[in-house]
Amino acid sequence: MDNFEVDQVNKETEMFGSKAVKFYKISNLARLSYYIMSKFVVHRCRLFKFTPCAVQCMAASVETSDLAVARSDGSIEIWSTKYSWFQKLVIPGSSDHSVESLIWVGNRLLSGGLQGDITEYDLTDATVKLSVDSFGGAVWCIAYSIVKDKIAVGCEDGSVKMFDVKNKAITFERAFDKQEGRILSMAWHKSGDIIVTGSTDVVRIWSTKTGHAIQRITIEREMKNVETIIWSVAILSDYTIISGDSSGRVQFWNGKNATLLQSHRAHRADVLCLCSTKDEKCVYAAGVDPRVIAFNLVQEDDVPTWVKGRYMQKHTHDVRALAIIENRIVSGGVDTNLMMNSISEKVGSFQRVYSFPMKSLVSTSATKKLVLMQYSNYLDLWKFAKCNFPEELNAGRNIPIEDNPVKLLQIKPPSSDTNHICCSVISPCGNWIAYSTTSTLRLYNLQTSDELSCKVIRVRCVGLIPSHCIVFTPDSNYMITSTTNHKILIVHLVADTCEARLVQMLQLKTYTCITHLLAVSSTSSYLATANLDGEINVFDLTNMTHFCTLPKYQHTPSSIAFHPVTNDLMTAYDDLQVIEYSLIDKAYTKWTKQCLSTNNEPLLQTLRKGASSNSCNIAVVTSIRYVHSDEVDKVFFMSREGLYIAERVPNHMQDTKSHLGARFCHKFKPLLCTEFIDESTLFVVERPLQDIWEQLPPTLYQKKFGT
Amino acid sequence: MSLLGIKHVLLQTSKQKKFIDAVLKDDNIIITYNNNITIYDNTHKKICNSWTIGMGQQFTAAAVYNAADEEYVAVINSSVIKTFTEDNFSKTDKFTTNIPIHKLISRKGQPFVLFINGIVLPLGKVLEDPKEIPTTGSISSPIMMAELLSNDVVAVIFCQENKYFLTFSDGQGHCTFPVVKESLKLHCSCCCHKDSTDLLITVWEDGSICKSLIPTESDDTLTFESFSSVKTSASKRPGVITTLPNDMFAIISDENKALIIDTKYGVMHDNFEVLPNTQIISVGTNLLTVEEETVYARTFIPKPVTLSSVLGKRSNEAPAIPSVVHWGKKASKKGNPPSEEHMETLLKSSVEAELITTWDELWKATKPQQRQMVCSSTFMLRLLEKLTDKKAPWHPELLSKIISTKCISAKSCPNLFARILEKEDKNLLSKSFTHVKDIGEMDIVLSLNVILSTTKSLPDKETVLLLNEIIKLPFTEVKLRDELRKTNFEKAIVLLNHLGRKLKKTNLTSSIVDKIISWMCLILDAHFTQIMVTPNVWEYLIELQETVAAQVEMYNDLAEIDAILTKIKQSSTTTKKIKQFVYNVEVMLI
Repeated sequence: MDNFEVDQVNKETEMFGSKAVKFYKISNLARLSYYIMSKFVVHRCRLFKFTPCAVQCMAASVETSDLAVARSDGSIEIWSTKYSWFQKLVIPGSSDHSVESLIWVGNRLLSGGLQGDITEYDLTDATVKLSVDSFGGAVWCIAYSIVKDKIAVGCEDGSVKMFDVKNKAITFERAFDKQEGRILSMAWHKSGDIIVTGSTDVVRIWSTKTGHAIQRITIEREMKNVETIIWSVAILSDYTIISGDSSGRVQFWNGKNATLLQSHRAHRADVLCLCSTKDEKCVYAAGVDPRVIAFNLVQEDDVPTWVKGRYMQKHTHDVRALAIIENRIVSGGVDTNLMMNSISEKVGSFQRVYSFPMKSLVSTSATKKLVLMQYSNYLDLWKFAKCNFPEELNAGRNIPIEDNPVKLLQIKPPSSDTNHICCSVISPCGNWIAYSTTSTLRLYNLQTSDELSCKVIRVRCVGLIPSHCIVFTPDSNYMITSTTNHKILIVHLVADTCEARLVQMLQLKTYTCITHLLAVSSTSSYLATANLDGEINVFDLTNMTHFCTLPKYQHTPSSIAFHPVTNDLMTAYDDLQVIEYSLIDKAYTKWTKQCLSTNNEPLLQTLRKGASSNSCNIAVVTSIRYVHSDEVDKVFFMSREGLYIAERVPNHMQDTKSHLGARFCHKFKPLLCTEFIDESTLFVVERPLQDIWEQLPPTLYQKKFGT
Repeated sequence: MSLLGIKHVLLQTSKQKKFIDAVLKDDNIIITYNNNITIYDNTHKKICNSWTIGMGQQFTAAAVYNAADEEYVAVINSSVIKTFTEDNFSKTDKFTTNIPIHKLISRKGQPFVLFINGIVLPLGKVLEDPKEIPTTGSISSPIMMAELLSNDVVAVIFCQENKYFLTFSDGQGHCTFPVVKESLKLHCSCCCHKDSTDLLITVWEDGSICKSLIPTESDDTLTFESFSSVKTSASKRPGVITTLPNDMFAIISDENKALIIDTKYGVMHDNFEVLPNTQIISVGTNLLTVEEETVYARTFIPKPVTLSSVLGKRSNEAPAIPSVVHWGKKASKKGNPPSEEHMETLLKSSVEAELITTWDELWKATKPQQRQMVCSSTFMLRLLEKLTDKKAPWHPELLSKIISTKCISAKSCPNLFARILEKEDKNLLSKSFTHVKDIGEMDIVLSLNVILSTTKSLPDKETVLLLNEIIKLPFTEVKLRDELRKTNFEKAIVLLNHLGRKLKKTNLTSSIVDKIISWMCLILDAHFTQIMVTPNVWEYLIELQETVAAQVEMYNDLAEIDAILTKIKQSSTTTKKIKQFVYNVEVMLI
């Protein structure tokens, strides 16, 4: 450290005491950096009862390494698993739509549900592309044959329906013979000639050429009057059929002779899902007993035998779906999290992927101290609590609450709109609320007569289109949305007359993915958009023209924000890399260049090491906020795990010796939102994991020793 | 009579283990040793769990179960509270207190912590601030006994400079009472609970076993009533005496016998031999004896202690030295009967002054223990018959004196009330109501009829007083109802009206409210049909209904307050999860 810095540290130590000064050594830096912790009045709110839904089924894409995860509310999440686990897209569900099975047909995603149709999703705009009737009632299972380029659907009426999926269409081809009882599980042999189905007490082997059942395997009942339900089936290339049933057995059958090879009772309850590795030497089974058990193929005296291998018990509730992505087995179930284990039994290769949303479901109005919380089918508007501030604000002190937070209103979409809410926001002035489903975008004007009561008036505006993202300008005069048809709409708002008028529609260049991020500068002069391909565009709002396109980084942006003074655009990516771009210089800022040159890995990842557990997925940055003063510029990156705080000298004072200060604050429970009400007041929405777990249903009872 | 079951082995350990205590948790018994906690399933008669701590640590108080948090609480090395669940003994929370802990006391799954300075706090409060326990308590000496009473107050006996004191600590304040009996040493003590009464059983140096009512007010004093005796020696080891249900307790005597004695009559109901230095503990319906390395259990089925059940049982009292009684010539087994002279005078004379004088003499001459006998004798029956005879002269003063003895029963003078009412002697009537026993329902209703005959709607003061006296009298509902049916309807309504007004004014905590309500119900019942068909009465009924409704409303409000207080009480017992909140504002260094 040079003399200036030593003197500075000594001064500050004297002023604040040694506890206030912390030293952090950032790897690859030759010298120590320092900073001083700041006191904030923090409103810690846990009123948001966010509860992720159970995982219903999963499908791993062979082409893109994406994982499609269907939840019990009908929504589908597309996870990017290449680098870090990043939830890049969410297709919202609806109350009359369920997803019982998912498959990838190339890069097309199809699902079948209890409503009796086969649905194809448009992943470029996160909407339903196509929906075809199954002609057999509820669809319980779907299987795809690459060879035949067809899908087979197991239906409620006991029949297998075959559909042609060529030419980006889904066309009904034929129906197999009907059987008694619904078809609950299905697997298609590699060759495309054989389909295996499981229902109640029976596994059938079908010929796809004739449409008739060629073999029938009757599953032995555990108890006379209790049916055995075959929840899952798989078929290997050597025609070995694997079945998982409600008695907890995993059975291996010779598909040619329909004879039982082996039966394993490894689970204490129903086996709900099966999955085999690519080399077909290992089969994973899981179910109500939340253990994922591996069965390995062993050659004993030239006789192949399936033996029970290791088991992984990371889930607490039923495991409903298994998938294999590269060399990892992914499981998901009622406990809502995805668990990843390495197939190769590598130590320390377990990861828990938390189901927290990648984009914020909470927005605030600092002016009126309001917070808007988005649930799947309604919005809650709360008023902050009022406090009695004492004279001395000592750190660690709880400030007494004078008035508790009050729920002002709840906004629900009309009953005719069964789709879930995909985005919502409240304006900074607190006078406007907007939300969008996949079918409509609604705008409301909020009129507060006194502090505790308010009236909501629907404001109609011609031209509003359902959107993925909505923002208000800082002055609340404009609402900007990124629509499902790849446009940017700019709507002018007049609070006095409760009017909204569409003033501009900007066409985005990219149609292949959604624009999921929007940011507006503090002066409302610039608009930045970012899409899942990593393209970031900046528009000049004063003349409504495209300003520039930022250099593309190989990862997906998770958050963008403008500097309040310089309008530099800060972007955080899913690998925790942060890049700041100067619009004036049209280049990276000095701070970014310094970060990139001094660190081998992303800055935030360095800070995260040692502070967060390696057994959970990296939480991406979901919002960026600036606290700017003449002496210091602080940037807050909020993620589920905590706050990354970067302190730097303001740009106009930067020189080659500008030092870096950065730390990771993980004092909070899992964060859903962090907003600055003013420079010294922070509003955070936490959702403790314990609270989520308490909402989960009870688990399988397991008798313990001696009880 | 208690029935002790067969002795069976509960637990067998090694010599290194030192037994601390045993407590009940549902059907299980938590047995704490100095280095081990064992859970014994009493239903299935087997050990279901056992935990041992490492070297250098030892449990110093009995582990208890915290039902609110579903975890066990134990004390290690006197100052460390350890909480753990059944599944996770190793990964637990530890809280170090600034004051050593004497004992953990559990009541219906809610634990309290008793510190050596006498401070008692709920566990939740201790865990919140384990270092903030007040250091100044009422006790600065070793504690001899500490038990939780039925009113959730902990009673502690401690010895200070060879003097014994009883103190109570409910965490709010404390009262201390000296435990003194003729400068004797106190050997051991325990508390017996029955309904809401707490009894302190003390065993003294001289072998006497005394019982005392636990004082509730600070002005009260402890009085020791000796009811049994046993030979014990002063011993600092615990487990010499233990309470049992149904007014029983068990004690180990110097003769190495465990005795089961009841507190009512001091009779020993059962006994069995034990080894020297045995500890005896009662856990639910099990009597545990810790003999060397083994814990034995005996179930017992207590039955209510009645006189008939103790007949034939040998008393545990030391045989009393018979005292010599010299019978004097004048002494008579039957006692001294009233002199014939007096009786003759009373029966024959008709001069009131003479009668009064004779009566006074007779009454003075009669010993107090014989007075009731005199009042129940044939002579008194004849006298009262004479005094209440219609044809005989009326002697109110004499009657008043006789009635004032409070030994007269209405059955011995059936005409008494009729005569008094006839004479309209309200003072005498009032005295009769107060002092005469066993007044029949017929007399009560007769009196009512006469009293209310002059009353139209609002009774005067005198009448009101009389009515109040009548309302307080005991009665049998069925009989009274039958008698009330015979009364005049209008009088019944006047009485009803009076009762309604009284109900309005009476403090609900007053004992007379029950009586008023009973009378009202009986009157309504007795004259129901007539009330229904008499519209004039309905006005009274409406008024009465308003009064009742007001009371009901008040009770409903009280019930709401009770609910709120219950909620506050429940929420005030904070658990160690202090960071749970829905909204909090704090100053943080970020």
